[in-house]
Amino acid sequence: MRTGRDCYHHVVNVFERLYDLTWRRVRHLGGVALLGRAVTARLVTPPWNVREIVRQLEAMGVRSTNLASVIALFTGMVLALQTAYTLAAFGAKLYIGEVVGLSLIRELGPVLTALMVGGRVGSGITAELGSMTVSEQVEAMRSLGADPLRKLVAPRMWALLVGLPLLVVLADTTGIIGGALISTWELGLTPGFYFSHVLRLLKFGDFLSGIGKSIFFAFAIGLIASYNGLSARGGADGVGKATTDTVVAVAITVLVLDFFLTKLFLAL
Amino acid sequence: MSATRPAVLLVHDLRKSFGAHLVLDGVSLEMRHGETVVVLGGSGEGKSVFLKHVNGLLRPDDGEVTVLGRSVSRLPEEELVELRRRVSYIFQQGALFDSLTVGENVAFPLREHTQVAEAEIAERVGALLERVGLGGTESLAPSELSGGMRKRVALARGLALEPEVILYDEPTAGLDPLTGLAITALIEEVTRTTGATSLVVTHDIAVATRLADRVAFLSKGRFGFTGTVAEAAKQEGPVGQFVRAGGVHA
Repeated sequence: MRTGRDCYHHVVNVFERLYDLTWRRVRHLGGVALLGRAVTARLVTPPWNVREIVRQLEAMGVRSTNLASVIALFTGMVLALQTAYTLAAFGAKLYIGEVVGLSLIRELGPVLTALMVGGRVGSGITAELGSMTVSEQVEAMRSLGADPLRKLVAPRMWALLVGLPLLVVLADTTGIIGGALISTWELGLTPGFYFSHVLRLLKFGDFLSGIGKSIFFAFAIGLIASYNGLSARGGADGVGKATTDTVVAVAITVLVLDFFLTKLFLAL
Repeated sequence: MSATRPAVLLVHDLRKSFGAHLVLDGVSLEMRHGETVVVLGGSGEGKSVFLKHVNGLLRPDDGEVTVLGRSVSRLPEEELVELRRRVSYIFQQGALFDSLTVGENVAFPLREHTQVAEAEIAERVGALLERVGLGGTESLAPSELSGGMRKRVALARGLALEPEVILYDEPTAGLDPLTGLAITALIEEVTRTTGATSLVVTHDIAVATRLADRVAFLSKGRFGFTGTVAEAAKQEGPVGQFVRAGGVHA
């Protein structure tokens, strides 16, 4: 039977754990912010390791093109199907091009690409930097008088900052083509009619809004992944945990950031 | 060791905790030019933590570390770069960069800190690898090397900039006795030929017997004893027990 003292200790224990959890989160956010400041300084000042940036761009960007294309193609197709179904209720099925185009370019292209590519690339960065950290390679780099942020983090960040917007352009294009396939096969529209409607309402600002989001997403993905990798502890187990944390954190951050960026870009 | 030689390393009242766990509790040590000091102690006593303070990989909670006249504990990371060119750190498992070949690992500090032409770098890398008994292994990946070979490559990388101070973290840990002996002999040869000041962290008494001018015994966060191996063997308590357990008797 529980006594009053047991209940008191239980409540204290819960509050202590809540305090610990909150404090860990605050420290984590602080760490990411400090890393962000340090990395930004290295992104904008020479020397830049162009060869390593290109190597990372190939590893992260070029090898993600299939993933981004397939996801965007089927998203565009499903979007066209669902939109046609919904618009049919209002007799507005012909406006499918406008809805698919705007939805993809302003929202779905950047967000889905960031989620998928971010998960793939972010987990890769964390695993790579994490295994270097736990095997003392990062400390060895520091002990040899080299800067791990400039050597390891900055090239990956540059590759993401360049690669993700390009992948978003690819995803936007593929998604719109997916919509065209459904519009032609299922709804009997001509490709010319569909594409003219896609372009009818689209403004250059819509395109810039999507690309702008992807740059913010790239920065966030790179920072989270690098921070988790560089703070990994305890061998393979620690690297595995850090990698899982990155996938979860990237997904949440992209969606939360998307809300605020959407508000911001709509207000501009 | 002659007190007239200049002090290379001064550690004063060094304290370090990780959370609630106090690891170093007022460690002090002085080393003179060309001296070899071996830090002995059991596993988990903080030997590697101590060593990492010497080239600024860790910052103390309190106390002072001065190496080659520069205050390591106060220098910002950017200014430590210059000091680290003169102080090599040989990691326990070698810490070779997985993504680079053996040759690229050894060339790393040369490419990072010198303007030497690639042809000369290749020549110097070849000579360094020859020196540690691994000539012709430039194109191998670190994953293709045994534990002893990794430590040899790490030593070659550490010697590339001709350091004045060399820090060895458990140089024989995880090696069979013969390979351990060969690594110890290599360190002895390097110390003799370079004249570098060496600080070796180990729990291997054979290393201390062969290399040490002095040993410092780390226990409960402090150096409980500093002196020669023979003097350590005569000690009562944990110092004497530790050294005698390693086969050295008074």
